[in-house]
Amino acid sequence: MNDLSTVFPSDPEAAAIDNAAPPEAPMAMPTQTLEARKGRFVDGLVAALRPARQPSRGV
Amino acid sequence: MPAAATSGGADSKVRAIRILLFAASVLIGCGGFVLFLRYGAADGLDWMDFVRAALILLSTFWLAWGALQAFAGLTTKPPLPPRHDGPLISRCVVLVPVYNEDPAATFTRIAAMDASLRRTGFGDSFDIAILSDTRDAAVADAEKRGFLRLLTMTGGDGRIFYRRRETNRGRKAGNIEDFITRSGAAYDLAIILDADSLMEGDTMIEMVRRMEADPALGLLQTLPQIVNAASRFGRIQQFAAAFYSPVFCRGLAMMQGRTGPFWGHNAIVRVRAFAESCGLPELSGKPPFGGHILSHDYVEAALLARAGWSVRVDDDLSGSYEEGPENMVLHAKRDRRWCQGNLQHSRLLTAPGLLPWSRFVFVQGILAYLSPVIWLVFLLCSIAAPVFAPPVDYFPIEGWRWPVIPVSQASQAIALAVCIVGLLFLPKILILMDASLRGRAADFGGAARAAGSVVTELVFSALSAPVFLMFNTRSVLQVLAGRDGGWPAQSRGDGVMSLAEAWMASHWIVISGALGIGLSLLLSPSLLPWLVPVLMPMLLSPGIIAWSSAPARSALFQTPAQSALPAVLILEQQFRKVWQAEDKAARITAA
Repeated sequence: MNDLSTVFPSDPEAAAIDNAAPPEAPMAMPTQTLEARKGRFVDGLVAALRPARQPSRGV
Repeated sequence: MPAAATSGGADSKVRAIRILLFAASVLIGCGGFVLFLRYGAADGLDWMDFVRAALILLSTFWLAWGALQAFAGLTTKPPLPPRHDGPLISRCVVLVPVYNEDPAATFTRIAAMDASLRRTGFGDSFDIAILSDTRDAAVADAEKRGFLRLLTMTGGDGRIFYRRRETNRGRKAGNIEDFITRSGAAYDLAIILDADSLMEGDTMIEMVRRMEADPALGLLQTLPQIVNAASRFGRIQQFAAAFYSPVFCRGLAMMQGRTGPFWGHNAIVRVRAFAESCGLPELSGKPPFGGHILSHDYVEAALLARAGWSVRVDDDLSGSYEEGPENMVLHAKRDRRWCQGNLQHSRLLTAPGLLPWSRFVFVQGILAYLSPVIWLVFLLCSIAAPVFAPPVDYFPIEGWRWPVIPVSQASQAIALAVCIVGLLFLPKILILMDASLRGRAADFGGAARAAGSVVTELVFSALSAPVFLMFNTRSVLQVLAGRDGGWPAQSRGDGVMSLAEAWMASHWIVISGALGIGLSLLLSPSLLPWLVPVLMPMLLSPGIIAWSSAPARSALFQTPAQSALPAVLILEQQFRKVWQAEDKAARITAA
């Protein structure tokens, strides 16, 4: 099939917008738990009194 | 683990300040409770007296808590945070989420910030990403064309990006999350802005330096100053934000320690910390209490602290700006969203692992919106009290045949009223005295003009407070009734309202005020003089709203940003002129 891109050049504005996307560099963003499990109302209340969770990862 | 986590949360000094201020607030609240009961005891105590005294306790506690923050803020200067003077080693991206905004206004601000950054010589360390959630097709089209003009204007090809999401999942928080999951690994730090934010390049550099100097710092919040206000209401808010807020913020910072606030914009985050800690879930159930987390910023600050990162507000950082609503109705509309977001936090009070202070911050946010409702309930109870009061017993002593006339305890009520007004006004008056003594008032037109501004602001606060009390109460009732406020685009612009428009927005407040007067005359006429400061502004609310929305021409309410226009605002004005000139030229060509 012939390449018609030189005959029908693409819209330069559309191309500029396509190139404007931020860089592809994925990073995981896990969803956090904020609600106590259903039926664990007392657990939820007690959770407020527990000491803060200490993260295990390094800086 | 972040170093902050090893310190076990708040240090002992922060903990001592919290305990001291909390205890003092409770004490003042209890004082109000006792004063009211002594007033109520004059004609015999009944259950309505106890209800009202309890409401006074809550309200007075809340007022004292705010006032003591200011007193604390007046006692110290901002500490010098760790920073460095070497070259920047981090890659930073400036995120500008937009949602149906005017591209001309937003993009000229971005051009100004880009130019300001490049002037610092560290511009190469920064990219800028415009994150569009715009749903309006015409605005989206204008954004695309505007973005190309922005690139031409700034030469920003390859460092200024634009992308538009297909869906609005998660609203603004989802917009940021979408960016991080696609591009987060390219950056160490991200400065999160709003569409109306402006920041000096030097300020952004300083924020990066402070983040680099403290590896445990997950988020650094600035205290943005309001700029470009034109209406009377806008100017009063702008003055209040510039004059009072730094002192209140200092007090807040003293109490919060490393569990500081995030206000959603004009802040810098460590991308990895944010990604690891701040992926927000959808809450079970339907809005307004379920679904997307509306006031995500408070929750993100709490999650960063939960994961061991420091969150700090540096009130000494200048060069951070935003715009504010230009009239009372726009202010109330914004408050409607914030009200829903804060009440939704009631779902998160028992979220696992949060630090106690983070939970308390949620409680504070909820109380901020419930407090005006508590005042209104107190007023209604006071009007209705005579209905529930038992008849006065003029012969309380058996066998004594002379009547005993109850002694009026009006002095107790007056003392209570003086205390409450004092809690409202004293912090602002002390801030004025402090500013005059330390020379800070010079930036506000001098001590005399600053005093005039403060007095006028106090009068306007007293007049507008009952109107806001009603708007606030309506918002709370709507949320409790399950009505979702949705995600309306921010209304910006001059905000001038005619009297007819103000009437349309507030006629229900006028009717409520008239009903209040009628009920008071019917049930407790002696209470009417006490209610006049609340009921009169309600009757006059359309006039207050319309008057305050008009353009300001007074020399009062001067701010430092007006005395000496900040460099980034000058840049913005220059880019705006170029943009408008190009618009005009394009219209002439088209014609």
